[in-house]
Amino acid sequence: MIGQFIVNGVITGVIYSLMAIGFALVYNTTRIFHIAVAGIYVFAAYMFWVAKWYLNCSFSNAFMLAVLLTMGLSLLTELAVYRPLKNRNASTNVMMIASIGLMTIIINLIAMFFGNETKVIENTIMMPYHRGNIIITQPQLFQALVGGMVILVFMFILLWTKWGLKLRALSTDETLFETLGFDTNQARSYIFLASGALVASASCLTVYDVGLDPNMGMSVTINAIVAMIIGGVGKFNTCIIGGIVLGVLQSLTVYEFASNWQNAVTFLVLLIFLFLRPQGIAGYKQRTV
Amino acid sequence: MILRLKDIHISFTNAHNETFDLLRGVNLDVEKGKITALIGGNGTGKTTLFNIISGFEKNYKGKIEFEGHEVNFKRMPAYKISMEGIGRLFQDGQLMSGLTLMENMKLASNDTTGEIPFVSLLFPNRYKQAELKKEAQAREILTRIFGENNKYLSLLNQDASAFSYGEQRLLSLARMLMGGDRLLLLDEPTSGVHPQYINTIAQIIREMKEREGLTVLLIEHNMHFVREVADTCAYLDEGVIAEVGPTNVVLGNQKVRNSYLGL
Repeated sequence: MIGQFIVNGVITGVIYSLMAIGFALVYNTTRIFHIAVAGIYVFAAYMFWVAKWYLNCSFSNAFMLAVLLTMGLSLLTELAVYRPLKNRNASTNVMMIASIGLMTIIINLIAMFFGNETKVIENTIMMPYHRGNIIITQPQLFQALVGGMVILVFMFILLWTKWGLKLRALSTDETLFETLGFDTNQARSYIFLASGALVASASCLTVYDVGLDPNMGMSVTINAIVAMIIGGVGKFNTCIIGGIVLGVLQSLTVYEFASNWQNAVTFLVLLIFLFLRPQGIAGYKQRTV
Repeated sequence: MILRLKDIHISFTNAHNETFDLLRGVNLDVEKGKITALIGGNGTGKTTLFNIISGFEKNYKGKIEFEGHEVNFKRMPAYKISMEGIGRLFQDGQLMSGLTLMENMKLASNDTTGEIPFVSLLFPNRYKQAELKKEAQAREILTRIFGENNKYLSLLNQDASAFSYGEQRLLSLARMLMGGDRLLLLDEPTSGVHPQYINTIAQIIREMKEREGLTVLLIEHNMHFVREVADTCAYLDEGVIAEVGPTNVVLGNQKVRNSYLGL
């Protein structure tokens, strides 16, 4: 029985990881506390739903369309809101308030167009897969495989390409990055596109399983932020560790107590890390030079 | 002349709306292939002048010529100025932590192969060759500066944050030799560095001039160091270049000795 909960937790952790990397991409490189990802996450879900139900796209086509549209919206948040504020030397606090405003606008617009009721992507009965005592549903399998593949592709780009090197460099020092001859604005545009792709992947894979409503973005964003912090702020691959640990912990909480204790455990874990290991599980204490 | 600053003015306004003129008409010619030291007291605007030249300060008046052409530095983003061939060492910005020493070196290369996303996936051989070339260049630079079998060659995969401040200073100077810069702006290269490293820094800067043919403009408070490396010295005082000429002459000037060196 506990094995089933651990498997469920790992799969949820993959989704948290995707979302956490999407958030960390923006936060680590621009220092913007990008709360608007909650709105972008909801937008992706609705685009997936529209593609599936109105355009009659297959799962893969609807997924790709939603990812592309979400990448566009993510880039738009940078070009229309963050970059003009940056050019006016706005502080990180102002950026965060703007991000909250942006999230509210996106969610309200979606609620206005599509209504507040919960919608479903797939309403047929799908046969689950059995492996011993472990049961994996079809949406869970998609979450594990597609989510895992997106993470692997991202890690490959991050660690083995020049673009990944630039991304890690920008997250260290923007001024030095520019002094070495790199266009910060162009790099930021790519970052917002990549962030949009990751958030959209997390969103489509989740709503395929549990359906969608306009208010679902915030809780997953908070979990992603917690995953990023407990994994280790400042790095990208640590988000995967943080996401999986958080997913498994939440799942074990359900196993041991009840699902309504999940949030309490999440924030308890966050507090423990902030007090005892602020650099996170795989973060490192930097040498003070 | 590689760089000519003509009548550079800059003012700042404080919280009480009082305007303070920091630079009041700086004129300076930086000779190509020479080491020029910019000296002056704290708060006289030396780093601000560097910020103007490297594109981080746009609210100035005056003209800047680079390699004989007037360039509108106000409209150029900092990265474009860097691509024009002006490199900079900051007072505090050193190596990039989270990246290995080799990655830091490679990042400074002016070979842009693989910068467009997915190009490295589409042309893996071309990308790999370019990377190998950069790695060989990095090893060659470190060997030339620190000698055969120096410890940095075995620490190329070490995270940059593991190096001490002084080592980071040395290595970030070595990194400047990776790119295609022709003018280097060094902001206090010996600041906070243990005396044992200062001779190496002097050696690297001389190497930049003699072997690479680069022009160096440096800010420095260590007058022994200035006397040792600089061909020319410019003294910035009260917003203008008050004295400029051969280093020994400027450092021997009574006005400079009185007002700056306190001798």
